[in-house]
Amino acid sequence: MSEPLHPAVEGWLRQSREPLNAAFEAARARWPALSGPAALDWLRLDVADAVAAVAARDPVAAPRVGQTLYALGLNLLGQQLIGPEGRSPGIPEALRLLVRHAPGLLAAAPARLAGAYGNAAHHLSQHRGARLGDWQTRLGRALPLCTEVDTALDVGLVAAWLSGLPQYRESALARAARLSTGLLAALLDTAPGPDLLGQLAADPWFQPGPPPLPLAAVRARVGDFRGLGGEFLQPPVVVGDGQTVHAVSPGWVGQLAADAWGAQLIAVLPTTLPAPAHAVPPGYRLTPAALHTPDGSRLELGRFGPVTGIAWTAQLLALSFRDSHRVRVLARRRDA
Amino acid sequence: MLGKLFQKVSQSPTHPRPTPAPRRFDVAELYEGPASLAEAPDPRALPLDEKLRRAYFWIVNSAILSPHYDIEFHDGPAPEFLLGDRKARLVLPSDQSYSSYVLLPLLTFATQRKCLFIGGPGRGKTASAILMGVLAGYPVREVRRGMQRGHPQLTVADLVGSPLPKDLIGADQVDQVRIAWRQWLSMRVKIVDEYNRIPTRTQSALLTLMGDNYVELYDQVYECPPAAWYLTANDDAGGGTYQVIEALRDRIDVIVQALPFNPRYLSELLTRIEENARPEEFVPPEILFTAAEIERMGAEIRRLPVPRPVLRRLEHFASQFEFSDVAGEQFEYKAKDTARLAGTDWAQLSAQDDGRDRLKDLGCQTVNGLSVRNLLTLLSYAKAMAWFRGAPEVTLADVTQVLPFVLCDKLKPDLDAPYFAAAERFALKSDRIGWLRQLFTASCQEYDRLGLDREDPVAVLLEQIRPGLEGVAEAEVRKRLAQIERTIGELGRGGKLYGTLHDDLMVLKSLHQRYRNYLSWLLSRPA
Repeated sequence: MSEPLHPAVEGWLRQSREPLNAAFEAARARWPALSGPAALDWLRLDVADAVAAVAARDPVAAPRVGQTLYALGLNLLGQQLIGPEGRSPGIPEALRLLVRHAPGLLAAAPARLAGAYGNAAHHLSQHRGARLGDWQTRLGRALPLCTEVDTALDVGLVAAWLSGLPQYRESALARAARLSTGLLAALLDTAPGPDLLGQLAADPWFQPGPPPLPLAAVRARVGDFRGLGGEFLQPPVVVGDGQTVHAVSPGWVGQLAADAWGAQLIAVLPTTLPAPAHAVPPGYRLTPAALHTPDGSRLELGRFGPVTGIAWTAQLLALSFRDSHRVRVLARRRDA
Repeated sequence: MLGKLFQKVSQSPTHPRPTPAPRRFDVAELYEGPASLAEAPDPRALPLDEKLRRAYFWIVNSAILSPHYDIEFHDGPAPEFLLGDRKARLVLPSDQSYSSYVLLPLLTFATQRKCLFIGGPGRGKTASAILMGVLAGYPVREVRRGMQRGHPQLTVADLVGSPLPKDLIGADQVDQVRIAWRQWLSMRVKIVDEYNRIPTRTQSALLTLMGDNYVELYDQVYECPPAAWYLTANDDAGGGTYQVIEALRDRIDVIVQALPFNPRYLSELLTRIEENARPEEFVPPEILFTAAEIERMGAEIRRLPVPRPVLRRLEHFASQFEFSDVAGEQFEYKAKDTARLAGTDWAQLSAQDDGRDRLKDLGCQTVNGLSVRNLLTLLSYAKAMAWFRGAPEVTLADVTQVLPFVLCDKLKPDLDAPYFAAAERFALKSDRIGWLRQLFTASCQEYDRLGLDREDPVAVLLEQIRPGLEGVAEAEVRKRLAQIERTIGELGRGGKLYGTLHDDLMVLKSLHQRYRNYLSWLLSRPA
């Protein structure tokens, strides 16, 4: 036997029966495969929870939240992003985070917040190496501290960067600068420090808590064989011009982004790239057996065949190997 | 609810272009995507070419079920299949390609020109024309009311208006007679259905209207706004009630044929019956164009450059057809038009023309040449095609694709020419579009064979004179005159006269004249 409906939900459903049915008919005309039972489940579970949670704080706003989330759900079900066969199951959980931790904000801007968080969850699930669960955890800590919709939106983006999307580092830092120290600390799961933001901005490899790693430590391995869900048919070769690093393999070129919070290869259009090189930055020394770094640590080589390319920027150094589809990423200190 | 069937317009770019590396990353892009409930972007903010492409895709996806992608573009190798006993070639284009039946009317809409729909009854010619009217922002009912239906009793008054009876009785002067002009004259999209059923006298009034954009009655003149014209005919080969006057036919810029309906799309028709819905009644507002937007589209299209190498190939193509060695004695009159004006029998004329390789000479495939109007129209549509594709300039592919539709009623084939006698070319006798494609391709191949991009002495001489003659010294003029005479001698060395050579020689003669006159002037000046 199903649970009795919350009175606010019951009232809303009674009043909105016709518009809800009309919205379903319109959605089905657009997406003929839209499942009625799946839409009903969405309405009965997620939308009803949201209406009940919002009604407890703002009864007037509850119907609007219900209508918005229902329309959004039909949209996502129609695109087969959520539901039993959904390709982006992180989206409902993102909306539940809002319902659990920020119902007041959801009441104020349901379409804006739910759409933004749903999209962010979708993107995180599409990026190899991004950690959707990590994003949800960070938001679970930070969202209850948000008092403004714009703050909640900034928090979601900074959390996304910290969950394995380093390509967004610069613009996320600009968003982080708008957050309070307490919110930033909650996102980083650390105690509020005097200059947390300054440290994050100054060193891409800074993480509060753990001691610094040696320069020879492999911080990330990016890319993989296409047969295993990766990007490359053949082992890639890294190339660089001191500003950017690209991994190149027949039919695929990716730009490397990496910091303490993650590493990504982002597909870019093939363009004129520098030739592969084996030169190392000042202070480094490369031998067939190892890469010696300025801090005296060494990375043992040879396990994956000869090095096919070395490329670096001021922040990172990348190596590719003849027998590996994965690019190794090392940190470079600014004073290296 | 019904409108939802037809209301979906592409929200993503319809012809995305590669973005240059390196990419910039903004974390805010994470909040964009499939979960958005935000309103669709303001269509007024869209570039007009993108808006027109969206209109195109809405029409092909929702309105006109036209799966004939006969305007093909390629950006790399395209898979090809040879099918059937006659080895019919099916090509799968490697770049975004289009259906002429939808695209050409849209380009006509954008350039405010004139398009004729041809095809058997019930193939959607009138419905397509009505859609164009709706795109211009007119309600369906107004478009239907404004449409002129050709019939044998259609008078000039029916077409343009009639004098007020009171003024006819009371006026002392003709110019005091006021005219009740027909409403459709003021529309930016004008539709004439079954124009080949209009009596000849009324066709003449229509000709003034189409050609000069005004109409005159009782000394009163009505100036019409610029408009796109759509005419329909079941048969373009003289099968209407009245023969269409030649001048009127010549005013038509492009002809598109309604290709047969593909029964695989029958279920779509069934839905329309069941829903009692017509697509023209549900055109999404975001693809409607205001008068200002139509004007801006035209200006953007006109601004698009035609690179010199593309123009040169078009010149080479156009040069091949007018020349007829036996039509005139004087060099300047060696033109098919000379024979036509004199009423010379074509069969007799072509039988005399035996000096050239009649299979190789493209000029032998036609009974006429191209007019200035034809070339202006071709350039306009080539620009429109390139603009529609979002290209920064006109490419050879744009010209190749629009040329057959512009010239299919203008460049008339000589079906008795040896070229058409071969069994494998039998289909080209009825397929004008296919024939014109082959004709242009052959002309470009010949252009390449002659290496005219690398070596074109006439172009060099034309470039020399382009800055003008002011300040050019006598010695230089004499040098150029000698150069012209030498070039004529070299060009004539082949022995045979072809259209392109004839045109080049005419150019050289005119250059020679200019230099000669300038030299006379130089010499006549006091020292």
